[in-house]
Amino acid sequence: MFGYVRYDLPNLYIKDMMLYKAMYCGLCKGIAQSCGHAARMGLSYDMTFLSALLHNIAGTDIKIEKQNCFEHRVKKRPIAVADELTKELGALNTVLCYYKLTDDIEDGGKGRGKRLWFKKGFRRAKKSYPKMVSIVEEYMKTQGETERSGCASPDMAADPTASMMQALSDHFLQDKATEYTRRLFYGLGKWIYLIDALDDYEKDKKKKNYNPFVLSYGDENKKQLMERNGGEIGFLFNALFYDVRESLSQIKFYFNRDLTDNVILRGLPLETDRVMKGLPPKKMSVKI
Amino acid sequence: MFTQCEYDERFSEVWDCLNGDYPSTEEIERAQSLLDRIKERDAEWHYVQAAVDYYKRFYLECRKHLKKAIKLDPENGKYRAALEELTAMADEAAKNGKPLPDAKWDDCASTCLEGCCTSCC
Repeated sequence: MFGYVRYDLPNLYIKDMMLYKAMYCGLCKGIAQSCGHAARMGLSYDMTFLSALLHNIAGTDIKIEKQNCFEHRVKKRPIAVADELTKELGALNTVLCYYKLTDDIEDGGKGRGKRLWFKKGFRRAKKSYPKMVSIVEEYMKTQGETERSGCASPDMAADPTASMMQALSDHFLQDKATEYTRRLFYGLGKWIYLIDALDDYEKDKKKKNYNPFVLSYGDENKKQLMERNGGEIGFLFNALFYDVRESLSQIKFYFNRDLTDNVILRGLPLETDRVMKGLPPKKMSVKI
Repeated sequence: MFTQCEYDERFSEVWDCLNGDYPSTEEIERAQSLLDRIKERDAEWHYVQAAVDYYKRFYLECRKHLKKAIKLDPENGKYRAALEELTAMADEAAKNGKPLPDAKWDDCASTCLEGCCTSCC
């Protein structure tokens, strides 16, 4: 579920790249503060993006300071100060990693050892942020039930994860939450679920794991799936993007929104295009 | 996109739930529950199900039900119009979200960024 939220590098301003990196490092520190150092293993750009989006809509300014960190002990780097929102998002990252690994184990895969890295952090998150964790638990339970029922509809299969993102946005944004923020986060959650399912098509087909695309279309491999049903799958993602764009245009942003617009309006369609074509992931990092 | 059939009273309660631009989750759930109770699954039923799916943001399901409605009643212009509008909506997003040609210059941009910024840091 992690690793699909990407920016469109040629159209990303250097200032936004710097901000993204500072927020990435800030989130890493936030994870350490809320869940301990071991939980830093789960750090992702997906959650960094969520942090940038939520800070902007909530109107919470980001303070950047030159600091040292675990990885960069000698040379100080610009790092976003881990505020309360960042710390809670760090806890969310840990909780989602823990559930993702639990899901992998239940599917018969590896991950028991790796999950131990997050066990203590998961407990800390549960203790410090019970409401946020209860939202995740509720929707993860529904997601498991939907998958066990053998739901073959991509729309219905993605609904619990999408609804979880919607509920989490309400939780984080509080009085700043609107119908449009709910729709935006629902769309983002739906995209994350579906793109992961589409990318894992062949793996899930081979291992006989649950996958709504496998159940819905049943093609032998992704190439065949796209040849036969590419139009319908393209429609699924394009309709989702329409919804996301419409919602985005109605949301009040308190600060510059170039970074999040780059990810939502350019990065996500590009990543969808890549997964649909079955191409390998592009390198994300650039040395600045 | 969806319009109520005035002479078909079977769905009047369902349409009441869907009134307004953004029906609440509870209203949509009630609409679905009322629709599930109707046994006769004719073309209009599929059209109303498509409307419920639209508000749920289940656009693929919405499209499937509209296609079923058209198959059962090919002469009905209302079903075709709804499907055309839904398709146009996705097509518009596809046009806007089409990657620009310069999006392929990843490696070039990386090199430039690296070169430009080495002196800054």
